[in-house]
Amino acid sequence: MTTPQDLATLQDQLMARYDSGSWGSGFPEDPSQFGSCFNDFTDVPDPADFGDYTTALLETLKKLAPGGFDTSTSDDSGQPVTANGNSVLDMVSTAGIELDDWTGQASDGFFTWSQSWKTGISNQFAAVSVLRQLLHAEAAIWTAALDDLKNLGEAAYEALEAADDQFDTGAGDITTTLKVVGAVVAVAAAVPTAGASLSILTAVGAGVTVASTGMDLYAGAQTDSQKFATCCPRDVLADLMDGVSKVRTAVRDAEQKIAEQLDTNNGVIDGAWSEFCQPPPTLTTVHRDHIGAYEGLGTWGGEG
Amino acid sequence: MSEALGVEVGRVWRAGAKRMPEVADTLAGARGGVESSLSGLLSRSSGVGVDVSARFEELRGSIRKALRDSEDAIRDCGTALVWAAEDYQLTDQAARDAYEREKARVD
Repeated sequence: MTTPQDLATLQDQLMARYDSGSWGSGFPEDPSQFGSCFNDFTDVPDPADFGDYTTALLETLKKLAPGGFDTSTSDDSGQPVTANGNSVLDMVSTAGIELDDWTGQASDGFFTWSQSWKTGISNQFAAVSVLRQLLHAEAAIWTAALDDLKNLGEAAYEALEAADDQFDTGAGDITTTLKVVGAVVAVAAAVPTAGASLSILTAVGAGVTVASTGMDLYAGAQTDSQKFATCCPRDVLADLMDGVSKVRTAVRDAEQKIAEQLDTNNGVIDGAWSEFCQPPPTLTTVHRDHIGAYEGLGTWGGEG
Repeated sequence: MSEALGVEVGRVWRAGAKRMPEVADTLAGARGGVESSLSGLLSRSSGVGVDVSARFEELRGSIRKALRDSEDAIRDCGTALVWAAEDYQLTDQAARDAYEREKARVD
């Protein structure tokens, strides 16, 4: 996995290679660009940093799971990992049923609330799934973009070697593949909705598989390519900057899809907050001195 | 009042003193995954891409608030149920005895 720091090192190597070369013609107008071509990418999100966040979110999902679910990760043998629902959450509805024989404004309200409480938790579970999926998509973008830039830099270095009058490798055109173009797909990924009422929460599909060893880009995802001429440093630099521009555009387009999904989901949650986080039952507002009265827990309708 | 009522009040107490706090603790644990800010992870100063950190933070913040409010509601329910049980167990000796046995019962 390429890091932003790797790119800083690579552009220094490109600059040094240009400075040490023997060029008869085709000088770049601004050769210092060899040493600054990746400057804008040296402080971008580091894909290696996403794992701690998405792992913590998986633990949150396990605690909020209304039922079994696909964790969107795979084990060492590549098999999908599933997790069980958390039975502790059922204690609320169980408590409501046990108090079913009590009659009073607050006890009736508590029973009703306890039977629908899990729907709100299911919505929160779905929202955490969306958050985690979109972080996976972000990680996929930066994994692909930084790998692409590294490949561009290495191809440019190879092209400079071929263009060097005293070090002519005889190589023809050099081509490198750009994977960031397919790092995020517009097709919505599946969001676990077990019991959720806000089923319109959505996440883009990330062109990434989350394996036990880290994130891997999907093989066969949509790609672009960049060809490098090997005739002179001017053309090598032009091709390098063209490739960097393609990566920049692909990152912008991919993150725009994520931004749109976040806007949609934030709007859904804001517009249906009471479904996302159900208001507490009346029981919680009854004064301590009145809790035993009719408006409190009320009377027991069981055997006297 | 009867022994049956005492058993019933014991169930109310157990729901309030045991079950509700356990659920609330689960929600508190779940909140741990959304406590850390994502701004540092997602920010960049160069203007590359679309800076999505504020949007991610809004989603994270909504989830965190919902989990906090849900936890508070559960804890408040538990407190109210314990109060109710304490009031009812004072009604007579038979109910009180049954209530104490129910409280001591190991699930």
